[in-house]
Amino acid sequence: MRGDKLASLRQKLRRGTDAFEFNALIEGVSTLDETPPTDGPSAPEDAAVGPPPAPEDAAPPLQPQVSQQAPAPTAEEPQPPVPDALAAHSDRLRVALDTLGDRLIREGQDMAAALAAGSIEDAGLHLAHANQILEILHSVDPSGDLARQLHARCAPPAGKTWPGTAWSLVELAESPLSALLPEHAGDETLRALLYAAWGVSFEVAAQ
Amino acid sequence: MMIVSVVNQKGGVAKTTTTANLGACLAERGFRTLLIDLDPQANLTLGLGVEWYHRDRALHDVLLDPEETPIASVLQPIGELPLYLAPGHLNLAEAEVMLMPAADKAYRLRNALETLLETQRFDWVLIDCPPSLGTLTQNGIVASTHLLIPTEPKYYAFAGMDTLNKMIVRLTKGLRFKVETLGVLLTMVERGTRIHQIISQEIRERFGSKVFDTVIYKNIRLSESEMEGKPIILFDRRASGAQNYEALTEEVLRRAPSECLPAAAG
Repeated sequence: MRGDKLASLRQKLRRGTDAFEFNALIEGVSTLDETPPTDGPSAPEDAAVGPPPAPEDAAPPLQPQVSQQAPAPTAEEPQPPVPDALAAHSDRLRVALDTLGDRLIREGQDMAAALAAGSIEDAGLHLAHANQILEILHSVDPSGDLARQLHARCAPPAGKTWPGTAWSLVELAESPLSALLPEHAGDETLRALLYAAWGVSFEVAAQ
Repeated sequence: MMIVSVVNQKGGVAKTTTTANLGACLAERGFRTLLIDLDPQANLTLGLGVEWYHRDRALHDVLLDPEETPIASVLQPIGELPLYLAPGHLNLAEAEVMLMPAADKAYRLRNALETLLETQRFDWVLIDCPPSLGTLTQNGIVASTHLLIPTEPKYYAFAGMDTLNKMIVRLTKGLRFKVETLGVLLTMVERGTRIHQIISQEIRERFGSKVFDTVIYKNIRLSESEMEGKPIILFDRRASGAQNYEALTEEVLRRAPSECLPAAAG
């Protein structure tokens, strides 16, 4: 690789990474000396910010790779058999995947409703929760094969995996969740939505 | 005692390989070492030759009902070393969902470890986190004193660590914990690849002394040792992968605060 090309690569790399923050990783964090929040451990995260009631027509259904229909095996697409050992747990696991899929769709609908109502903070909360669910799905079943084998309702179509998370503008643009955004949402709205999602804390103090 | 989460939400960056081989190297030096497989894919468990699917109880039971299933009841010794494994299981995926409504969901592993350590001594606990930032990873981070972050020298490594940084900042808003980074570990490095050199250099500039001097190079013997269900030092001690992990172990021991380690291992 030529020297000028290397220098250009270095510059590009630096420009691309300048916006990133690593302070918590470099310096470490501690909250042990802080006073715990007064709302205590019983405040569930979902109750912290209630989404506005969703107008019936404000929430288009989420239509991503995470489809509502479980793809039934067909003659053209033979499904690999579920191993015996896995079969023992398959019902429980399928219920877990179904629960995640249902919740993902609900979060998407709630995000759309909140956006329609002009509540960016609420929309960010639901986007963060949707992303959290997608992270879990990717962690548990990276290819989507397991969901297909178990005939989970939310299983991605054959040959596809779960949609990626949407923590950045680019990711959001590529995500099926973008279908839920208002038609004329500009960059400013999308950035505000993402910043709101970044600010969501999933946890409440329990100790 | 050191409790270290091996964490990076990106998959395929050698989290599991690092947990298994660093753990084995520490155990070989006489440190009582516990490995925790927090990943529903249970690759650490499989890579150490332990079957997960026939087990009556595993880590998911501990997280869901620690009184019924204390973590001590699922521990499995690995070989002749003072090395123990809390096996992972596919049902951890289910546990992650079932924990969602629990107010103390991020503290389950920490509480389980505290109970264990009242009766058993471990010098090192290494937690293999899943490739996500969900509840299981949060359990790992909150239970840990330190983080070890393996990363490939690729452009997206920066974005990944930025996301991990944000997640930790977010956790500080609601959880009580203290954690610092033991080190960033460059993994799967290809010798002689210029782009890897450039990005590695940039990572070292951004993270300074947090980056381990030791680098884990790509080595097929590491993959083969996993297929054999053995840590690399028990499979092929002369392999470059084994030597890399030996060097990492020495560096990790130098970095560990002295008050966290026993005066003499054994």
